[in-house]
Amino acid sequence: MSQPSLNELKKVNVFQKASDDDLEFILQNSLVRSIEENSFFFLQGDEAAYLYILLSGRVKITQSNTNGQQVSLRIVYPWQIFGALGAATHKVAVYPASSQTLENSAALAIESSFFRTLMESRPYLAFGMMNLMTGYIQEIQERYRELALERVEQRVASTLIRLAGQSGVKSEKEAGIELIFSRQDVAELTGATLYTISRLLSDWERKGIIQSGRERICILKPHELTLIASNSN
Amino acid sequence: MEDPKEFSQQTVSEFLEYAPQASKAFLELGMACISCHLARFCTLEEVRKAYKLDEKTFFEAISKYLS
Repeated sequence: MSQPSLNELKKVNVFQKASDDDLEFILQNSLVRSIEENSFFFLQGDEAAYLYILLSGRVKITQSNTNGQQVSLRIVYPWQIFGALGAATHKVAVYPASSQTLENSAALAIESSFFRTLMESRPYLAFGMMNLMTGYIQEIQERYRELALERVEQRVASTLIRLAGQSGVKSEKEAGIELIFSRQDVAELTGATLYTISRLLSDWERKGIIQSGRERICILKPHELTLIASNSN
Repeated sequence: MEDPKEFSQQTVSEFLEYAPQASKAFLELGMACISCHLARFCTLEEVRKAYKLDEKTFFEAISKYLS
C-alpha cells in the first residue's frame, strides 16, 4: 500500500489543523506497514518506538495477564491513531497492550521520538493528542462503570450498540445493522466468558433481537437492545 | 409550515441535522434517541413505533419545533 495523500491524512483528528508542510514532513519520516489478518503491529511489552495511524483494515488493542487471558481495550478503525504512548513520554516506554489485526490491515508508522520532537514546537499536535487521550480515558471510565455496576447482559448490549455506532453498516437484506465481529471478540470486549456470550446471543436470537453467524452479528431490533442496555425492560 | 410526516423515513441523525431544534421534542417525549449510538440507523417512523407513540402525539411534538 502506498503512502496516504495529504487530504487523506487530514481525516486524522489530530492532524485537522496541520499545515501541508507539516504533513509532508511527517510523511517523509514515516513508513507504511501492511500485515495480514491475525498478525500484530506490536506486542505488549515491546519498546514503544512507533505510533501508528491505521490506513485500512481493523485492529483490536488487547491486554493479557500472565495466564494468557486476554481482554480487548478497544477497536481501531481507519484514520485513528494507536500505539501513541511512546510519543507522550520522555522515558523509554513500552506498549501496555498488543495490537492485533482483525483483517488484512495497513498502517503508517511514525517514529515516537520524531513525533515527540514535533509536538514540542506545534501546540495543535499536543492539544490533539491530549484530546485523544481524554477520549480514551472517558471510554475506559464508561467501560469500568459498566463492569462494576451493570449486569453482563447490559454490558454486552452496550458494547454491541457502541460497536454499531462505530462501525455498523445498515443491512438492506435483513433490515438490520450488520457488525463484523465474532462472539470471541464480543467476549474480550465485555470481560465475559465465551460461554456467557454464546448463551446471551442465542437467547437474543430466539427473541428476534439479533441474528448471528460466523464473525458477524446483525442487530434486528435496535430499540430492544437499548432497553436491555439501560435495564428498563 | 412543513408536514412533519414527510420526515418519517429519515433517520434520527439526518432529521436532527436538518432540524437540531427539534431535539427538544425527543426529550419531551422521554425518548433517548439524541445521545444514542444507533441514531444514524433508525428512522423517525421506527423510533415512534419502538416507543409506542401514536402518530398524532409524535408528529405534533416535532412540528412545534419546525419553522
